[in-house]
Amino acid sequence: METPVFSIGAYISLLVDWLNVNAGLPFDLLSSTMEGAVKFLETLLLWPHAFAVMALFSLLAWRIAGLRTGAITFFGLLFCFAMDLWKATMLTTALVAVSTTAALMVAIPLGIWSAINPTVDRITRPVMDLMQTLPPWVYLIPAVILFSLGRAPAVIATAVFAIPPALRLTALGIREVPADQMEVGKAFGAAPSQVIWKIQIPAAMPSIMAGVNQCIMMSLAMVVLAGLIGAGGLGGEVVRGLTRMMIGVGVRSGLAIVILAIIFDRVTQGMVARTDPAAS
Amino acid sequence: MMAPLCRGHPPEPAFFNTKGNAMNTKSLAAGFDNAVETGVETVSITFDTLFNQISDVIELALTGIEQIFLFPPFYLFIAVFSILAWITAGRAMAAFTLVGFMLCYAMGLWNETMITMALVITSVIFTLALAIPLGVTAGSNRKVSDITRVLMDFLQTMPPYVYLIPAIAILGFGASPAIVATAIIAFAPAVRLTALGIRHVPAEQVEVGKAFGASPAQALFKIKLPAALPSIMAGVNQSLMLALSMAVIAGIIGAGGLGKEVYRAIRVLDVGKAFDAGICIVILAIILDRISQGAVTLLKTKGK
Repeated sequence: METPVFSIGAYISLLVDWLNVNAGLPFDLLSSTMEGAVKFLETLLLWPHAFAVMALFSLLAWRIAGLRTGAITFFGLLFCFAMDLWKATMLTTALVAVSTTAALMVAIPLGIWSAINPTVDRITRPVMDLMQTLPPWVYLIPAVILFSLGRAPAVIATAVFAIPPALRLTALGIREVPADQMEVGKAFGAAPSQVIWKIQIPAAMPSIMAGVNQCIMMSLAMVVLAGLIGAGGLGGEVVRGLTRMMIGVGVRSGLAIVILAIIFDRVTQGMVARTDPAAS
Repeated sequence: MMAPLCRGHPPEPAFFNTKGNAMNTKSLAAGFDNAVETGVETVSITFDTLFNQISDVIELALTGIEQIFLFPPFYLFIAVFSILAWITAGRAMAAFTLVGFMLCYAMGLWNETMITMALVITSVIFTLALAIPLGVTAGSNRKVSDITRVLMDFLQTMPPYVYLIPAIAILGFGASPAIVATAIIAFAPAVRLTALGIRHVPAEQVEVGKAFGASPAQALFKIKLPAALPSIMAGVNQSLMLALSMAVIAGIIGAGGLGKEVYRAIRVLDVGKAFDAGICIVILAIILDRISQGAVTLLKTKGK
């Protein structure tokens, strides 16, 4: 390696040191909130007997996305349990749930705002372009440096990574609400906020749900990658398998990840189909 | 790795005790691990020479491409890429390419950047060599199209990370499993967009060619492929971006380059170096994306 002539990183690391000394509180607060939420959800999922959780999830999947998805969910989770990966699977589920929620809390309001306000749209569009160009790895670096290792940086990096598709599809959905529908609402004397809440958002629901689906899938991919920075769960198992040459562990947890991905995808696509008025 | 969970609540009654099951599932899991390990071992012993040859071919291609990137002095490489960026994506992008690559050099990460670039290009070449013929077949044959669609859906549902596992299991550590995994990731969009492009070639164009007595091969190479080129290039753009994200992740399984540098820097908490490598990845991503997207628009306007 050549000796660096000039390093941006050196300046950034000075900035990070300064932030850690002078502005630790907001970071600590964010970090402990995320950690607390994951811990709570994880405890909740692991508290009942594994079979009770399995039955509950399968029933939900059945109601939302049909019998076949229900069966896939049941046997998939049974596989995870039988392969001694129950705790890891539930932790990964908790991580995905928390980071998706955090991402959607930012993405949906911003998406609606950028659909109705051209100035906001002009700002968010290039930012989203840039964010979607960057490989997932890149998000882990600042997260680790600001929040150290563990679950909090994993959740925060994942949430940031998963924002663009949800924001884009929300904005798209809102923008494509037919003008005559909104006109009808206005003609009946709806206030602008009523037009948004009662007409635009319900009409944009299929697109928003498609955004949620994308958001969840990206979260899962990222949460697994975050095993590298000590987030644990199935990603942690994969890293253990990969770095210690334990192929069996790697394949086992890889299969569990695939199962989880299929379940999440099918269930959320079922939700998309349910909100689509054309289908019902 | 797993901290003791649910520390607070009282011991569960016997029926609800997951731990009673734990031994049972542990032995099941151990059995699974054993089966997989013996299976992989048998396969890799049986096809030892084949896998070695594959691995050799891949590594040879990689070192060749690496040499092409590393051999010329850095300013020559930067000049060539800036001109390329100017042609495809305009003056602003040329300036960005120039400054961006100079920054990579100034931060002392030139070799790493070139190695990552070589990994990406090598895997994309392997992917395209398979994906474009498959895409062309899928574009003109209904049955193949149905099969590939299901396969591609499956490939795209899985988190990228998962592909490292079989690649390592078969090829061991190093650059060749990284390239195989990267090529698999980059495969789906290239097939999809090639098939899409071929399918959307207007039927009358092909008809005109046939009327003038073009053979099927001529119709493919002289009419369909040129007409589908913008869509194929869009697939190449997607492939490049996915390959870059994977090539960086592959740093953990012993592929060199920027990914390895990030992984090392994070483990020793070298904040400055981690950011430097991260910035290089961002620069590389932007340059590859804008140049290949520029090529798409260039082809589109030229076609019209």
